[in-house]
Amino acid sequence: MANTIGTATLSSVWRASYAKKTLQLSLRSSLVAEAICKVDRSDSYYIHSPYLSGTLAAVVNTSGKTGTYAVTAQTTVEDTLTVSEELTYATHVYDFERRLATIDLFKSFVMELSNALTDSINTWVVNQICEQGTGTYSTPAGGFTTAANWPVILANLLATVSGYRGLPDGYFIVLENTDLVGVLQSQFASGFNFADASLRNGLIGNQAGVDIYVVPSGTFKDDSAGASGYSGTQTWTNSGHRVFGIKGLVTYANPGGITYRELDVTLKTGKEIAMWANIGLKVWNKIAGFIVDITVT
Amino acid sequence: MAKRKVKVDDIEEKEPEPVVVEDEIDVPDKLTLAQEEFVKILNAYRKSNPEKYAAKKACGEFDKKLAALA
Repeated sequence: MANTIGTATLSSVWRASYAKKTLQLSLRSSLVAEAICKVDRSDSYYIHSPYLSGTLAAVVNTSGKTGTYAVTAQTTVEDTLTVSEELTYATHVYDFERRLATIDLFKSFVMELSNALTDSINTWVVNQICEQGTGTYSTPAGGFTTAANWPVILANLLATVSGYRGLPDGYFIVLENTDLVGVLQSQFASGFNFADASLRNGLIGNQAGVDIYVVPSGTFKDDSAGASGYSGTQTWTNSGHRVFGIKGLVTYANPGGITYRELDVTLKTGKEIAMWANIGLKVWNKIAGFIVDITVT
Repeated sequence: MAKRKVKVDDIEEKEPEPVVVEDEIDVPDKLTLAQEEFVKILNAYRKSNPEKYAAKKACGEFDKKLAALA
C-alpha cells in the first residue's frame, strides 16, 4: 500500500501522537512529583484520603484490675484532594517559519513545551509539598552550602521520621543546585569507597537511604495567586526552604495526563500548538508530619 | 514620707486594658516594589495558612526577607 502519511491530515495525527508520547516520557522521567508521590491519573476531580480517617485517643487506658472501661468516641475527618490547577502553554508556528527552517520546528517546539511544562509542574508540586508538610527543621547556620552541616542535617531529618512501622518507600530530599556546593564537598570527604565513587562520578544520588533530587535555584518560591503564574490558586512562602520526607505518602493527581492540540487559526498561516494539564496534590492530614519543611539558616 | 492610709473601698478596680494582639508585620514606611509584592503575598498567606504564618513570623523569617528586598 502506498505511503500516505505525507498528507496534512495524517501527518498532524502522527505529530500529535509523537508529541503526546514525548511529553509523557519526558514528564515521567524528569518529574520530581512522579518519583516522590503516589500518582493518580484517574479522571477523578475529588480523591479521598487513602489513610484511615478516624481519630482515636492518643493513650490506651492502663490501670489496675477494675473490670471496667470507658468508651472513647471516634471522630472521622473528611480529607480530600481537589484537582485545582490547570497548566497551559501554547505557541504558533507560521507556515513561512516551518518552510524556511532547516530543522523540524514542530519537533523542537514540542521539546521546548515539554521542558516548560515539566519546569512548571515540578515547581508547583515541590512548593505544595513543602507548604503542606507540618514537620519542621532548621538547618545549622550556613545551611547546605557548609560541608560539615550535610551529615548533621541528614541525621536530624532521618531521626524526625523514624520509628514508625511499615512506612518507607524510601526517603527523599529536594535541594536547589546551589546547595550542592556543601553536599558534594561532604561526599568527597566521606569514608573511603563513598568518597572515591563521588570523586569519580559526581553527586551520589542516594546517601543514608535518602534519594537526593536537585531542582534549579529559585524553584522554592514566595508566590501568591496571580503573582508570577507558578502557584496557580495557591500561596507560598518557601524561598529559603527545602523539603524532606517519606516517598509514596503524598498523592499527586494528573487526570487525563497531558492534552496536546494543533489547530488552524483564522487569519494566520501555519498552526497553533497548545497543550494543557490538570493537576492537584494533597499531603494527607494523617501523614503530614512525615513531610518536613526545612528552613535554611 | 508619711504613709497615707487608704480604705479598701476607696480602691477602684480598673478594668484591665485590653491587650491588642498585633497581627500585622512591621513594615517600613517606604516600601520598594519588591517589598510591596512581598507584603501582598504575606497578606494572602496569613489567610491561607495561619499556623505556618504565625510560626514563620515568630522566628523572624518575614522580617529578614523584607530587609533583603530593600
